[in-house]
Amino acid sequence: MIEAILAGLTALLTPQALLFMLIGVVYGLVIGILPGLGGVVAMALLLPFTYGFETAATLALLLGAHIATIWGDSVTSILFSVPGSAKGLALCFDGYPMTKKGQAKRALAASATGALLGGIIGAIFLALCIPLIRPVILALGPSEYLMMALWGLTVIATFSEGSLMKGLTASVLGVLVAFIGMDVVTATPRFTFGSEFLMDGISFPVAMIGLFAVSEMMKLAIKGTPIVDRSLVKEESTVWQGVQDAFRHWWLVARSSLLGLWIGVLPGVGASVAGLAAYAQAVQTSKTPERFGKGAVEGVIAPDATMGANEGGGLMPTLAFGIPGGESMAILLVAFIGLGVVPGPDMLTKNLDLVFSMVWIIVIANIAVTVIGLGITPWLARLPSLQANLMVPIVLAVCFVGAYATRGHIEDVVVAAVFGIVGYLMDKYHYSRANFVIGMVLAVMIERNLHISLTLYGRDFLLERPIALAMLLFVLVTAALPFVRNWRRKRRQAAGAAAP
Amino acid sequence: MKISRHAQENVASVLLLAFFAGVIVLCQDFGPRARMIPLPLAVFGIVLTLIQMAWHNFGSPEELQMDMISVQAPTIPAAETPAAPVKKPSRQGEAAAYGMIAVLLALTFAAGVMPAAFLFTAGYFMVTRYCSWRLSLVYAAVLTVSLYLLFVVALQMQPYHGLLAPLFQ
Amino acid sequence: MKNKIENAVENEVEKTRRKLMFAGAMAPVVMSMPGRVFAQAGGGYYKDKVIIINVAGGASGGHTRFARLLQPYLQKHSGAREVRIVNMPGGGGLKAANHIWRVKPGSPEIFFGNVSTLLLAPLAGSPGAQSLDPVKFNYLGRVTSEPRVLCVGGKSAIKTIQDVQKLKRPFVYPSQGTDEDFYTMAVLGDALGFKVKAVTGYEGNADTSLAVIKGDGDGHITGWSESLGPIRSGDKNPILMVTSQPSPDYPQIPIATNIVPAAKRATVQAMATILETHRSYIGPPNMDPQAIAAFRAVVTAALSDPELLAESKKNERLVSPMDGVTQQKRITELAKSSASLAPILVAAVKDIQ
Repeated sequence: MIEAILAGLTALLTPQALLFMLIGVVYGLVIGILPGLGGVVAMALLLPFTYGFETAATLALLLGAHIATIWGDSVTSILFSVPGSAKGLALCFDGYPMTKKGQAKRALAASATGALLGGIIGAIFLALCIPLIRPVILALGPSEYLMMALWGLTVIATFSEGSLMKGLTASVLGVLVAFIGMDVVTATPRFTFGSEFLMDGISFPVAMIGLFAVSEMMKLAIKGTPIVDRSLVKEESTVWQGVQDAFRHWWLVARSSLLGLWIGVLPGVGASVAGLAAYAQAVQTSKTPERFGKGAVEGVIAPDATMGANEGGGLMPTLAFGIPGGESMAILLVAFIGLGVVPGPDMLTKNLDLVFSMVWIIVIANIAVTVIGLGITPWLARLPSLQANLMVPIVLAVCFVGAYATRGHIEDVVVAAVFGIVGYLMDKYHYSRANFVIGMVLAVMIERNLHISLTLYGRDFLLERPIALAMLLFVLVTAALPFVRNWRRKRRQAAGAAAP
Repeated sequence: MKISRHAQENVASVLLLAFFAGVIVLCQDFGPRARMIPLPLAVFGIVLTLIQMAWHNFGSPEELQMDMISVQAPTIPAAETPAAPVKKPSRQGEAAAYGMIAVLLALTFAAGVMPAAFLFTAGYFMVTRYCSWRLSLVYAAVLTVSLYLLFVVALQMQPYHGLLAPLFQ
Repeated sequence: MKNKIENAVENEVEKTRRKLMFAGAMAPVVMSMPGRVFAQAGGGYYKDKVIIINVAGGASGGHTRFARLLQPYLQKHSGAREVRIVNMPGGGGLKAANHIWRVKPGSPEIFFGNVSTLLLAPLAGSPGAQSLDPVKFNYLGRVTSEPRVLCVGGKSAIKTIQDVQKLKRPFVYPSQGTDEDFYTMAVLGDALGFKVKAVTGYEGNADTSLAVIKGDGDGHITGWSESLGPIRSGDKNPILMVTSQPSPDYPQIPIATNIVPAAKRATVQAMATILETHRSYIGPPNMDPQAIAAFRAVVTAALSDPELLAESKKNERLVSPMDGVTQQKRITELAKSSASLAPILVAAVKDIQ
């Protein structure tokens, strides 16, 4: 094993591999920052350039680009509340409030360090868990995925600002919007009104561009002041503070990384759900859950650590079964074939050095992203204080181009505009936009896995799937925990007040 | 005519009720499996909205503001954000914001994605007098060229050319 | 062995380096006289023009892989200024099909995707396919056709297709939705006399593969290359092929048309032929006859280019060409003979609703 670890590293230490990784990382950062485009696009466009180069260099280019998109996505979520892709969603919840409080540098640095630590912890555990990967993948199925999605749903409570009723209504709206389009389970077009465009449903990144970015720009245009008015809010935070934050919350980082690793291992769960689950976990385990959604640094660290670790996990089904766990992994699989690498169970025994090369790529690419990220953070942190009259037209123009680029459909620009207005109204009347998108992300996953569970195991599927049952109990306990904690605290306070 | 915030909230609730009712009607055309989740959810949405309306119109303000966070934990510590003078959005300001989105949308459909980006940014700078008209054009051109290089050249996006494109061919 | 691989890699890198240097040196020359470097197929109809290939599927999909493999060779043999790949995912290929159905005459757009979608979706009455008439499209040449294979889990008690026929319960079939494999399974169930319980809603081929390996489902149908890895590793076991030729590597796997009762043979044959139409270039109904002839010639020339054949072999993306004229004839015949499939497909869709 140690031999394989060293061989994996040596293969990477060639000028070509290191240069390719650097190119991949810089390219991935740019793609990540552009709204509407994620890692899949980054990798797909690089693929034609990979033929004929070293195996390690090719993988360094592809994986490096993919890893860099994670932090790239987080940057715009934190600074402008514009998620670069679905993965960056959870970063809007606390990252953007931190920027508004004048803590952009701290948030960006915490996010980059969180992703780095997540990537490294994920890689280490991945190496340790290799023998467990196949049994775990085989043990979990649709019923367990359903429970995981339900867990993500428990975050809704956190964002029900103003009124619980309004918070829940917003999530119901999000779920219903996610059902627009062709239902693959029953081959029924739902809420499409005969429109060919709506058959494919509302694109999630486009809806987010509208709900968050367009509506925020509308608010800014009305206010006429920058996101952060430096005459009122000084940027007092430092990059170092953010780095320290990530290390100070090491236990949260470790938990989030493990969560991300295992969510990555399960094909069909996805990084956006991983981010939400990490956020849910951070809120539920916090002693001060009331700070979340208002600029708590833990709300930035947890999703980034999870997504950093998620990538390593995502490699496993691809390597262990030759089955790509997601779209980006499908592209990696194509590159494998081009390189003459045959994924399958042998990968985890005979070709371990190649597996470790990839683990090393994840680690080194994460380090490169963090170094570059921390270096550019002071400049990035100045962007939110740009004048509204400069910011609004630029961000709106980029968002409209990004919305169109997501799928190449001009109708998506209309969707972004409509969701922008809806987002503005929701914000005005305190219907949580975060709850809306959480409902939207999790709806399809919940519906599909519920249908599959019911068809495979019948109505009593929970009795047939003890792991799912245990997970349901866990979801219920973690969702109830804050209530119980609060009730006990109140009782203690009451007892204290009664005592003379 | 000025509509009070109270009335505006009620209008929002009525619109939501209409939306959920529409979902229920549309669900009638689906098979039992396709409506298994949307139908009960829409009913749940109606119940939630009715409760919200009842609280809003007949409940005490405290109940209305019942916050999940306040259920979860003791009172929120004093706002961490520095107190900025809260300016209520004026009706003209809001109308201008809606108009801005409509103009960008119309430009995109008429002139195509890239020319719309140029026209909108240049126009915005000029209308708001952010900078001189010459600088406005320069800034807008720099942005548009960057967007073109990134999206069209590097990312191979096929740009939408707009409804007016045939006139220039 | 290792040295051999290293040498091969070094040679390859050296070749690529040389290619890049050559390309760099030649670029200005080539750009100044576009299309003069190679003899063009199709009488130079596409010389200096832009061809847009609308690929039915996302950037990571199989269609895109083949479209990108062919892209430089199409450019080389057509003399086109640019051959642009545009991904048009959605509706299992119907989005791109509907788009090409409606393009204006003279448009440079060509559809690249699965012909079977165009044939099966209208037969099954899929929403979004009602307006399409598969016969009216212009078929410009097939790139590849992969045999479809029914696989069961490596540890499943089912070892042969006869075991499936003897099952006392329905055959559990995990599927992502109503794709061509879903319809094929319905036709097989009808022809071989076993019940199929389709479990729809899986995320994609990866998800259904795992369901079969785990034993959540009994088996599923995929393209041969998609299942090759798990078959080699023993995670999956192939029990039936829906194709007209046996696999040279696995000659023992029975072929569907050989084992179905005589009365059902025509139906299964129609299905197998539809599946074999597979990845092709398709032009809009109103395409200029000159353009049709030119593009067909370009595709034929590209697919017989020795460089392309070597590249396709190296990357395990094997091509199996069929020229556009033959394809057009085949599809016109198929449209007539496949009417018997309609009730089976419609019933299968109704079952999952």
